[in-house]
Amino acid sequence: MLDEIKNKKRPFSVPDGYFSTIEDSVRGRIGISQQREGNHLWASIKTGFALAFSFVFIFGMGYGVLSLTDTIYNDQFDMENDEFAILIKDGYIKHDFIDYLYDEIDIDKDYLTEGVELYEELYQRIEDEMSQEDLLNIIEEYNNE
Amino acid sequence: MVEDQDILDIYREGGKEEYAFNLLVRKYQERLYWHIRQLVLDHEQANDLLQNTLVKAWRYLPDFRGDSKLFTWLYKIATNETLTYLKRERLKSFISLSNWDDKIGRQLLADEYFNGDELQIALHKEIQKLPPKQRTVFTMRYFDEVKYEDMVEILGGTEGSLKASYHHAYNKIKENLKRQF
Repeated sequence: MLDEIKNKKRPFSVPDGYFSTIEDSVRGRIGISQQREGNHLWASIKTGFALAFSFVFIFGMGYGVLSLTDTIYNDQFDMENDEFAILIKDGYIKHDFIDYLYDEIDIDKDYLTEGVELYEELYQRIEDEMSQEDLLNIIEEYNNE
Repeated sequence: MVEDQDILDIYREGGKEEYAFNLLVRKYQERLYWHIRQLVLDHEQANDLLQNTLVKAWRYLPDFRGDSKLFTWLYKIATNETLTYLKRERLKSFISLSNWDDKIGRQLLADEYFNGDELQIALHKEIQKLPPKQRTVFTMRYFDEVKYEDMVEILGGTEGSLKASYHHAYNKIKENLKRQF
């Protein structure tokens, strides 16, 4: 059946003359992008000196505070405290787990970007309804890589 | 058709960067567009992502060393742009699987730039259910017949894991379509 579909004509189309407009559109965007970079550069130069003197002090203070409060992000999976591992161990059903992922994930967190393959695999295996034990094993395997 | 090396040589000559870039755009715009479109379905979104891709290509072309083929490099930028978009959309719109199914079906039927039949709609609904990266692997292999060695350059991972991902997706989609038709 998939071979049959593959041999069919592509079902998508584009507005007439679309591909002849791309060069101009991209040129326009490049112009805007370069202008933004130029403005940004100038702004950075103007504030650079002021920031340089305060940088070390602020960084040092921030690092000290974060160290004391133990909130510097650790991108290792901690099986006892990892929010996903805890969910699985606590017996949340598949749908709750997916709900949690949707509501709580901050895509900009480093560990998600680095562990994106794990996320994909987890999602796929959840869809395939793997056992909790299997899911925990996957997290542990990733943690030990 | 201009060869990639010729485009790069013209680009590096000095004073002809825009001309060389235009040659690059003309050569690859359609392949990149269809790759993106197959993933996001919607023309306007595909257009937006294609342009982002080409703007990034312009910005990073000075640093292109030629370690990979020019096309796989462009394909990689396009894929990353699209995957970032898909993952953001996936997290933003909290929709249960059954609602997502209906949404894709309605979106395709209402799209003036989609003229597929029932089977093609069903296929794209199944593809949309796949996690973003697996969806990319599937569309690259199934529609574009990208070689696995090129896919490794574009997506990372190993040939084995990409093959496994593709075959898993293929079999799953095949079974689901058999149930429906």
